[in-house]
Amino acid sequence: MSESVHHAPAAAASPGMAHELPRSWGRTVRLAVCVFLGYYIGARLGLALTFLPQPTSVLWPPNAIMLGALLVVPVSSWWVVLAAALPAHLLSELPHGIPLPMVLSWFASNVTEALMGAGAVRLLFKVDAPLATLRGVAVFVFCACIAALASSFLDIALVELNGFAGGPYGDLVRRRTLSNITASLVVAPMIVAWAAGGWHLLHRTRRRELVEAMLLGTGLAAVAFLAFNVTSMWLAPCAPVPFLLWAAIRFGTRGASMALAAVAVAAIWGAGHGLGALASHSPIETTHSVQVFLIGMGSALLCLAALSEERQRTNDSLAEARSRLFHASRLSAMGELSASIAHEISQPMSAILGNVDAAEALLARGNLGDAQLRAILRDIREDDLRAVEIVKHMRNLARRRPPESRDFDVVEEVRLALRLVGPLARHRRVALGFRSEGALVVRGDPVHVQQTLMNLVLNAMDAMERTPDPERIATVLVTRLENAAQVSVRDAGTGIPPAQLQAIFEPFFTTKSDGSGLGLSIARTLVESQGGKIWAQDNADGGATVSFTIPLGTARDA
Amino acid sequence: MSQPPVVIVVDDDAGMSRAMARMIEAGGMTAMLYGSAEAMLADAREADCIVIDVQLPGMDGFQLYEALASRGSRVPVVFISASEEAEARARELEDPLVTFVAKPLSGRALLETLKSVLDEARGCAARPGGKRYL
Repeated sequence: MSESVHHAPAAAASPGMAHELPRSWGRTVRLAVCVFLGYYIGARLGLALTFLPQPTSVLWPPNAIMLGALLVVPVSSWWVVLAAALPAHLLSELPHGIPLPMVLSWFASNVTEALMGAGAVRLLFKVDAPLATLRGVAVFVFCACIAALASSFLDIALVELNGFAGGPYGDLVRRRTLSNITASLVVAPMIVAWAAGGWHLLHRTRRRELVEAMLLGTGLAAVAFLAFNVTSMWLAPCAPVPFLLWAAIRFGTRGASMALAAVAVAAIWGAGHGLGALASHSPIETTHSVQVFLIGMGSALLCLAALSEERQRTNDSLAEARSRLFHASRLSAMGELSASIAHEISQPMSAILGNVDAAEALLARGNLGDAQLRAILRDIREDDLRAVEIVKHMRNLARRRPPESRDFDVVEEVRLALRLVGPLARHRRVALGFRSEGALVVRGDPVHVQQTLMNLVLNAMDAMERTPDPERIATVLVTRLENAAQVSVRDAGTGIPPAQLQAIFEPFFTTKSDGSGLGLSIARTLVESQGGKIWAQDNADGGATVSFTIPLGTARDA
Repeated sequence: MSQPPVVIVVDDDAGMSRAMARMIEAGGMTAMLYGSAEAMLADAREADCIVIDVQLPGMDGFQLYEALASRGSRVPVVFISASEEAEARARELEDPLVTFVAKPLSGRALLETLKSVLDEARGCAARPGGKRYL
């Protein structure tokens, strides 16, 4: 027992030994109870799924349950799985009057299969998450098949040794192998998929996904019932395929394993009652066709689910990388604006300090009237609120956050961004103009709009580095189009050669000596992720104009 | 009886200007406020000291200083700014009539600066062009 304590998984380890011991014991007991119940119920189910008079079950779940458990628990806890399975095995077999040596022999072959399968997957092929990748699925299916086949030979040898029932060995091996492979592909994936935080995931599932899962479940149940229990058309077993694909693509391995189990139940039930296309006159043939159907369907489905999960993970990491890039670019723009920001914050802070000192000086001289005190307090409050606003604005821009999509007034966001850029523009001798036709509600991410605009204005200022002083004018214009708002930044800089009008939005394209070439490419990604467009034009009278659009909001103003 | 000293404040931030005016008046001086360099130059008043925020819309603080110098003004100038670059530029002017006060700025610090600037100016009251910038 001490071994399981010693090898408790790092993720679950608590800082104090005092807590570690009972928690680890709790886990061990929970695991043992789960395996015991799973094995026992699995054995009863296996007997129920036998098409008498042929002796072998269509699928024999106990071995697959052991295999699934061995695939998900740490290797140091494997002994718990085996120890908990033994009493369940004895309890399910002994009441049928089978001699103890035979019962123990069967347990030995069952354990061999589970250990071989899980051992090969985890120790030989070093696959820790067998269903998460296409390679993992291939390894899992291969190991499950080999383990079932190899342990079947042992099983037959032990049966012979015990002088228990006999028969043509080839048939026995084939039947047991198929039964156990079917179980491995139908039952073990459910355990593996749901043990990996599946239940926690269920709590976080959004309502829309729950509704979709319920629709899928209902549809699949209805179609599977019709396909395997009502019609015996030879194509009928293919009817659930669209639902299985839906489950694999939308819900990954968890969805696929559940859907496959549902189809297995419907197929076995129907065929067992002589219904549907998989049923035939001979129970052996019926068993065989159900097994072949489930093995084929299961392998294909697990591969598809793994591919879908791999794609989802790639998309997730891409989105994550993009969000990091947006954030880094925002921080870099804020770095460029640091003097501007310092000015914006120091202004109200200085005013507050000035007002407090003035009030003290007036008090000392005894000529601070009520009206003047009120005016001073009002100014202090206003300046304080102004500073708070700026700090909030900075925090909003600086924090890393998932992109959002909501209705907001684009003019207000442009004003906020220009307020930060304003002092820098003054410092760089750029007159910053702003024109709009009043509030304009758009739909997208307000922080992205501010970030895009700051990028464009900083670029415009860079472009006017060599423009003579009075002509250094950057104008921001917000106009309403039919379905979108257009924000344009017009400068009087060097302009953009026609051949480069497209290229400037490509990553790493830059004409500045110290430019990263990412600013406009990030601006394009930001704009396009909100369903807008961005483009550049060369002005007839010099300089360039870069414009972008944002779709109008759903709550449009008249 | 001598008139209280006149201090001109050129700052586009209304809240900041009001706070400075209160401080100046609490110190027994008279304050005159302008929102831009252009407005101040157009008005052309007499003053004992000019407080200039470096970052102004249109003409900035240093351009205003040059414009005043080109008019032959000998009135002391106090630049205020949060920018270190502005502080360096003010130092580079090497003008004894120029003082720099960094923001955030306390009313007391401003008042002390104004008093010392005015005392010094009074010390060389015979200076030609004093108290006028036009």
